[in-house]
Amino acid sequence: MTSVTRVVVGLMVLVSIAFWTQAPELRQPDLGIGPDRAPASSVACPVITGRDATSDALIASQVPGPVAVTASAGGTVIEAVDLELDDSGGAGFDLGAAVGAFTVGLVADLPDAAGAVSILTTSEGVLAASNCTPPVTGEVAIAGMSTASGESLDLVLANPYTNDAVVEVRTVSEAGVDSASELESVLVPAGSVVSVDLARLLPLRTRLSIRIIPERGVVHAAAVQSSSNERAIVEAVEPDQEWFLPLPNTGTSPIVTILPTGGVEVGFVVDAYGESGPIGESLEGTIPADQHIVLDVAQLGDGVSAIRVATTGLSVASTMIESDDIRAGTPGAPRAASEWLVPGPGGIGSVLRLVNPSGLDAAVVIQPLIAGADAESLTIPAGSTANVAVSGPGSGYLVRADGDIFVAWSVAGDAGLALGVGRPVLTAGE
Amino acid sequence: MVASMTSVSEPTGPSEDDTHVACAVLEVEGGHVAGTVEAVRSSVYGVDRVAVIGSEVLAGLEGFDSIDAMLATIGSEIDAVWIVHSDARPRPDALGALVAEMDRNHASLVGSKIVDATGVHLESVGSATDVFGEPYSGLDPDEVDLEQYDVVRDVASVSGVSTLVRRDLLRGLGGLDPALPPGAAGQDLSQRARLAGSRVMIVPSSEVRHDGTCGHDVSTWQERAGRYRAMLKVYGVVTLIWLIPLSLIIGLIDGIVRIFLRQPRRLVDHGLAVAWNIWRFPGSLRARMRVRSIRHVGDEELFRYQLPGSVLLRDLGADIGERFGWVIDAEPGVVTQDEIESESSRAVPVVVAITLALLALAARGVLFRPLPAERFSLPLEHDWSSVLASYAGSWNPAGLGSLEPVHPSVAFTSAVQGMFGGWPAVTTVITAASLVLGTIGFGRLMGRLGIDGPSRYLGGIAMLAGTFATAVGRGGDWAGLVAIGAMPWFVDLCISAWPGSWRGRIGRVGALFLVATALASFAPVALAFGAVGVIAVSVFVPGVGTSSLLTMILGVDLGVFALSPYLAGVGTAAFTDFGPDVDLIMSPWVGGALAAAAVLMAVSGSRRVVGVMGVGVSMVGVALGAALFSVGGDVSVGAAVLGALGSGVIVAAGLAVDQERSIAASAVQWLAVAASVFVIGAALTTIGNGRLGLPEDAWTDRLAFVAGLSPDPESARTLLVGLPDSLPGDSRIGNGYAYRLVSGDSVTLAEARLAPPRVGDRVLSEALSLIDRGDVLEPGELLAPFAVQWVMVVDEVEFADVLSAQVDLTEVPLSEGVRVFRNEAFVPRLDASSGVWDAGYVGGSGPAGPGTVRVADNASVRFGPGWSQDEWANRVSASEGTITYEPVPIRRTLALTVVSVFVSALLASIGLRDRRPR
Repeated sequence: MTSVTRVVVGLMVLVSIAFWTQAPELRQPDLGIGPDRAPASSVACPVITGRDATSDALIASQVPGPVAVTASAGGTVIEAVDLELDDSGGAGFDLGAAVGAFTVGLVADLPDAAGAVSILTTSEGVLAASNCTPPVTGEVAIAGMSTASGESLDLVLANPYTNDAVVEVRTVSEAGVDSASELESVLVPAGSVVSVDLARLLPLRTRLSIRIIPERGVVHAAAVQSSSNERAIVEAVEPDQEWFLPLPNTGTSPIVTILPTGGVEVGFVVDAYGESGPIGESLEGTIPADQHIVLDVAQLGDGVSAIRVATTGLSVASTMIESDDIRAGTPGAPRAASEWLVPGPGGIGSVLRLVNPSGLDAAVVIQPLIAGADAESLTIPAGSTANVAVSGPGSGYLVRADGDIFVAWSVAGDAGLALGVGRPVLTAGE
Repeated sequence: MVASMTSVSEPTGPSEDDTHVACAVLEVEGGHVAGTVEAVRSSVYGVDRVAVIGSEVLAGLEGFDSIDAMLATIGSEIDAVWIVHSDARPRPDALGALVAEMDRNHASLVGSKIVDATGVHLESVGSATDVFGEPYSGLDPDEVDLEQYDVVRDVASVSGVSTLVRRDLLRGLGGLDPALPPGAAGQDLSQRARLAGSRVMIVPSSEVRHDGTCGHDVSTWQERAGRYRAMLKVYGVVTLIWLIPLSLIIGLIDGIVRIFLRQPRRLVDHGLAVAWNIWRFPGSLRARMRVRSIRHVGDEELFRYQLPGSVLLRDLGADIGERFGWVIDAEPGVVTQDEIESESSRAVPVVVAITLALLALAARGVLFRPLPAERFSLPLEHDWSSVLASYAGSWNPAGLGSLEPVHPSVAFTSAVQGMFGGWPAVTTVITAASLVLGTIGFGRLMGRLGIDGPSRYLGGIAMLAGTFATAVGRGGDWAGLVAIGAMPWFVDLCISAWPGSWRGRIGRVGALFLVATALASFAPVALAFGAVGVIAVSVFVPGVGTSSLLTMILGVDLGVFALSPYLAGVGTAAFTDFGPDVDLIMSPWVGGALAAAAVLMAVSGSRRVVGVMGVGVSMVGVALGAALFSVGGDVSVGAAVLGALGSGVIVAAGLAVDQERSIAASAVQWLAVAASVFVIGAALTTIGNGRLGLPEDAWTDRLAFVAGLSPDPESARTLLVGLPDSLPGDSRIGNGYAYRLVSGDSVTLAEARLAPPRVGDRVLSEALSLIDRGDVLEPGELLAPFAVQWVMVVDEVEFADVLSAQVDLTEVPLSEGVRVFRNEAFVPRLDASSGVWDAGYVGGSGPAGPGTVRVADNASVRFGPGWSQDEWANRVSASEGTITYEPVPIRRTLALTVVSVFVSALLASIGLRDRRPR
């Protein structure tokens, strides 16, 4: 009996050891992974008005419904506007009348993520446009601004939310990494707008690109570059690896700047498009880490009216037009799409700038965002661009195509030129 | 002893008999009245009258039922009454000495020196007492009378064996208290005499031999009860206010500690003495009123003749010192086998004391302060009665609320909390009880298995603080740690011999019910694992037969019955998907040492030790086997509880080399001992943690701000977001994070466990899905219907990022290390149109009005009055100004039945015993 017991005990010891060595950890709750962020249905931006200026908030949406627009400054909400979008999907109102000369942070809660808001500011001598952007918790950037002689440059940081934000601002110029200690940690209180005078901090930079890296909270940033005659507003956007940029022919060669944001050297390829199709060979090159590159558009050939920039790492690309009478600029659009919401253009001097970067012709329908308006159809040959004057009323346009296209817009007038890009409407899976 | 006045006691010669004395021979058990009467009559000093107090009738002698009756017949011709026990033999000059000293010192009550029947050893030369009435003679046991105390002096009390009292005083005092036993009666009489302004003195020249059959000097619970009563009668109210609680505490300490000195009777004596006084309290009160009429001095006069401190504690210290003294003085190798056994037995309290001291160190963080607030170790709800109601069929408000009862451990703890007057730190008592009883129970079990040495108690360290216990602690399950202390009792009661008498059997069933209830309450599934343990014992240990299996089945049934209110309200998921997960990954060194001890002792030990080792290995094996199936919740706790017992058994068996005295202890056995010691040493590393592995308090301070910032904290909920192991209690899983709701300014044990999701929980989950996708500008508005006023993010989860870009959750720097957001759109849990309502544990109250109140709990038709469903929540009428909840009748009935049976079992297990095994 004793020996049998010993054998049993010994076996159980061995089995226990085996169990022990094989025992997996107990159930660990499957937390899954955080969901991909849904395209936000809210957008926000700083609105820089000014005395005697008119700032129109122009709204475009594929989904009708209520829109809540809130403007805040100095930690308080100074204006809240509730709108109801009808089936046309467009609406607009004079924001300047509501907020006066304040620089405000505006946030618009749209019925759906398929919506966009642009701000068009006009006054004597100023014609500027900018897009509101969805909230981004990571880095955003602005490429290709200037503090050269005669240029003033303000970085406007708006935090229309309820929690303070702290950001680090890094700048890159022709001298490489080029920043000021005041920019290392900028507090943007909740419901406030903070303006940083970059022309004072970093004067005489021919090209200055700006990276805004949040330490806490979310800000919406824009760079306001002014000369004595005109003003350009360029909003900060989330870095990507592909950009479509409009190059309007104003008699002044546009300045295209590519700013890598990943801190490493990146390669780039630039494809140019003109009204008659793709132009020339692709332009390729590399950008060293912590530098930006300003492209010589003339290298691309004659008649270039849009380009596609693809980089091997994250980057931001923008177009700036600087002439005696014009300060206009816009970041690129990060992708081509078959549907675009284009709030902003309308009235005399408005032009939709369409690009078909694909190898197939694209049938395009331009639908004004106003009830009862007729749609306009056209076909854009493969690799070609088309400029369509859109002088009708309304807050903007919905552009649909049977292939992926790129849509930008401009408004020209006595006060100068405003340049912007549409907002691609993402379909499921994109 | 304090002597305010002394004089040398001189022998007395024949007296002029100016003082006339009547003698009352008090009939006591075992006494011989005739002998005493004869001795009295032979007194040199003349006695005017002799009477017998008691039932015995002697020819030619008066007989009375009581001294009072005798006093009623005595007139002024008698000056003093001499009260003598019938088992006393006064020397002929004893009375004369008493009378002489009484007159000379103007004393009113004098007592004799009492020696034993041989006349050699001193029994009493008057006593001091401490303030609690505990007598202190200052005599050593069997101290020889060398006349070393022969000084006439004032004392606190004199022995009641031979006392001379002035008649008028005796009459004024109302005689002896008939409700008191002899010793306490004498002390009581002395104290009352002192209070009346009289002197109480000892007269050593008056010598009385006492054969002690009356038990005068034996401390019984009746004597103790009598001393309590004497105390109640004489002290002032102010003194009693601090004296009574202190006396109870000292009695409790004395009783508990003496259990380890193998004197368990003392605790019972204290309890009986207290109970007796509660029962006789009206009589004591009347007696106290009578004392008021004769009171001439204050309590200070009593204090003059009392010792500082507690005699009880002083004796206790002396006893413990004696035990330890044995350890120091013992010289192994020069003692006989009998002496070894005797000494081994005497060493048990020492080893137990060392074991408990080490365990107390390892558990100091939960023994001397409330539970650390983390995981499933959380502070108790103040409203313990509502928690009990939640167990008994009422609403359980954890999370968004459910009808699932709170965990039985919570109900058990709340019941104990109620018994302690709602004391929220009662967990310290339960923890201490678990450690103490666990150690004792483990020793009993090992003794029953044949491991007799005192070292077996050291296995208790491995059980209560070892690798399995700390695994339970790491899981944050305080209740599981408590259950470990109950497990050895369950196994022990199942395998012990069935009592021979019905009285004993009923008592056994009662005890089994108590233990099964405790085990099942704190770790429900441990009941099943306990059954496995009993089976292992019956397989491996010779002599433990099938009757233990039947007892085990009975025990399991009793435990299941005790759990019936819980089982009636939960599904099987409650045992696996909710509650703490115990991760049984142990250190390879500890696992290796356990295995080594088992293997080494298995190949070299005796049949019995090998069998016991088989029991331990089986238990550990089953526990680890359960881990193999990756089952969590109460199942994992139950497995760990069994594993803890198994590891203790292995260690105790590994140390059992002293079982092998008949054979030479081999080197292999000493290696087994070394392995076991290693396991104990590893267990003692938990001393560093000090909480038996329980995690550090993380939540006490984090939520404290709610009390200051929420007008009615119970109306506000906090949404906690983080990783599952960082959140208190159960949590639900979101997209990349876990979350849960808590109410008020602290998260309590009653809230720890969540029920399966109900409709409101699903709506909350959907709302959080919207928020965590970053597509909601006003998340506060989405959370408002759930009464979420605060959102707290405790880990680096992405959820915090999406709260950066929104407009109604304001981040506030309220708690260090976490991010707290205030919901600007907050709506309280009770949202009434008639005004502000205060939320309670369940429901609440507020101004009555014609409107309705929205109750932001999961919809339940039992809310009232005038209930209707408001989406996922409730809406009730505000007309009555209160919100009610109708409990589930069957669960309430079951709970009341279990309580009734528990009380009956408690009484049966205490009162009905049969120590004789069949």
